[in-house]
Amino acid sequence: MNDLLPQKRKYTLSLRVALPFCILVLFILDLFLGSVHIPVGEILEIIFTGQSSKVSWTNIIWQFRMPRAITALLVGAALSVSGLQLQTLFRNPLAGPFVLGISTGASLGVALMVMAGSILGAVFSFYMNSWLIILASTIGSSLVLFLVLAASFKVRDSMTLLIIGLMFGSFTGAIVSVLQFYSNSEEIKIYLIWTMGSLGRLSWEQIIILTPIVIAGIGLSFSMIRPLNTLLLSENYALSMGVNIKKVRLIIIISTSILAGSVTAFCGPIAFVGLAVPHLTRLLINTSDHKYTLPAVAMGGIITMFICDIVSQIPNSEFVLPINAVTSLIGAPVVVWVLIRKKNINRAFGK
Amino acid sequence: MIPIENNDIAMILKDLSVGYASKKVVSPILEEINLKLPYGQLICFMGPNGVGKSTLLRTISGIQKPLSGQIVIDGREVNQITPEAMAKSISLVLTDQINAGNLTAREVIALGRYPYVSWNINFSKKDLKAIEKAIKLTETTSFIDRKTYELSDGQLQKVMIARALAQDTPIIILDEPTAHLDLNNRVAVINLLKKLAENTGKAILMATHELDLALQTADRLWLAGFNAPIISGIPEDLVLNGAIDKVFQLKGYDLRTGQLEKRSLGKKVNLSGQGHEYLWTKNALERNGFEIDSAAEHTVSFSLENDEITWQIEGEGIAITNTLEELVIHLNKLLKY
Repeated sequence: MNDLLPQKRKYTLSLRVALPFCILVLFILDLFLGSVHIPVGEILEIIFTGQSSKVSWTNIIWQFRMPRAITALLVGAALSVSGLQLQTLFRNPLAGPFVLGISTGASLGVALMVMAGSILGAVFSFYMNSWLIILASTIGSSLVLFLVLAASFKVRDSMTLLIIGLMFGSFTGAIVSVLQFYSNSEEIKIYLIWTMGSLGRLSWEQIIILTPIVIAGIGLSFSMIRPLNTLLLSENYALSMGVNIKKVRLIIIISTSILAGSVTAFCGPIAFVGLAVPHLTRLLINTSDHKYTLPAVAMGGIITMFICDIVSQIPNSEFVLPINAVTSLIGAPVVVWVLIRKKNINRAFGK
Repeated sequence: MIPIENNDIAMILKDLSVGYASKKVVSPILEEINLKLPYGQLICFMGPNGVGKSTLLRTISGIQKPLSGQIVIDGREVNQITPEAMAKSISLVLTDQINAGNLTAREVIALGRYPYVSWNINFSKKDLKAIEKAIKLTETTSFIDRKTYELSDGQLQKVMIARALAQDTPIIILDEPTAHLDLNNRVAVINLLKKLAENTGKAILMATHELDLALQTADRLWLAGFNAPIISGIPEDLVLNGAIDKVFQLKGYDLRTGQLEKRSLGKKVNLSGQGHEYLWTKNALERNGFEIDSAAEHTVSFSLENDEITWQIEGEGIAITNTLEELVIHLNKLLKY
């Protein structure tokens, strides 16, 4: 008894068939393409049996391409879902997962560790310990997030919260600049490479940690479908429909920080996906109902990250582009082109 | 005075005081509010801008906390009602800008059922029935599957009213639902609300500035003026006892005749005839500064032939015109000397 929408069947087709099919094809394509050519048949055999005719192929797939592809999947889903939530909460098409200062907080943590490490006299090797980076990044983003959360209890409306988040971002960004000014070129290079993001850094152990975190964050956001839809009207309307705005705001912020924070900690600040994928997905399924947009955006994010990952490896070459550059290089023109053709933002945001 | 029976009352406001309070200052906007909101009536809440209408509406709908006093809904005090239960008692139509451009009218109306559904939004038969009923009552069927960004302001307002109806609450509160609408839509919206109050027995409270429409439609008015308690009464009483004049401090508008005060420029003319042609001719003359005086030198009369009106001026001679515009121009020439 849920046939409220005449277009529902179309959405369901996209959600249940088209998008999952794209994900599957791109997943296999992502495993297939790389500097070493491995036949598709062998890849499927490796996936299902764990063995193939060459041990090196098995190793390449299991140790390099598979973790990378799974990372792309987690990153895409996590960033896009948190972007969509924040765009709805803040009623702002320019909101993304990083508007609350999560990425600048993480940057500050990493910058402090990499660049202030020598100033403080700490001795460690960056290359030796990726866990240290993850720890620093997590502490940095948690700190900023804690401040934003504290502010969210004080302020009445979400717009003020958005501005406070941006201010925290600017503030921590400035500290990073100061640190950079006093750092040597080696340290700056290490820091810069981190800011460019990477999908290939994660080991299986790290993926095993990241996966449940992302699933929990996405689960939280799915529990917010009903309040998110009421927020499409306005915060006052949501209140009048029995929605506890402060609680909802808190859960959305927590879910965003779990998603965007963990991804940033493990892969660096990956730009653009969280902002753009919700807009691209809204074109695909022409509704604002989060019951449909939320799963669609998660899948759209996965597809986008697969495509970016495939492009970043420049198929059949030795070169790898930084993922952050690729997301924006191919993403930005696509979004501009799409938006010029269809004035979708105007429809979704205000009349 | 026959008191209204208590079980006919949807909401009672007792010694209510509303306004804003910060840590240091308490700034009440409206005080000593003692009002009853009866079921089955359309109540228009009127008052000049800035008098605190929206603040009171926000307070009684639970968005804002009262400074002091009680709000009793169905025998229960509001601060003992959970937000979830409040959502089943009061629904709102606000002036807030909505961001739901990419939802269809039906989807927006369905949002009204959210207090009744679980997190994954599966509508039950009852929910769908309530939605259909709301659509039918508001006559929104013809554009129900259009996206809201395609709707006109009048259609959108009907959709928002339908959403409130779908919420299935005994009380509906509307904040200036006719703002930005043209005359036809204003009349349509107010008539719709009146009809809903009558047919569904809901208590409907709307803040509005539409004095003329409210006087003709509302079952009861609440009048809020500056530095005075809110007055409640049926429109005609409030007109005759001067309460409306006092609250609005109407300048140059005579509420009893429903007309703007006319300026007289000392030009007098006699007018004969009857019917609505007489009224509109009189309007045109008075608006242009003529006073109707049976002892005047010139007499204006009109005749009807095949639905066409001609006016004639009798004085020293006779002049005939086909429009009031020409009549006024001619009279101005005649009376100049």
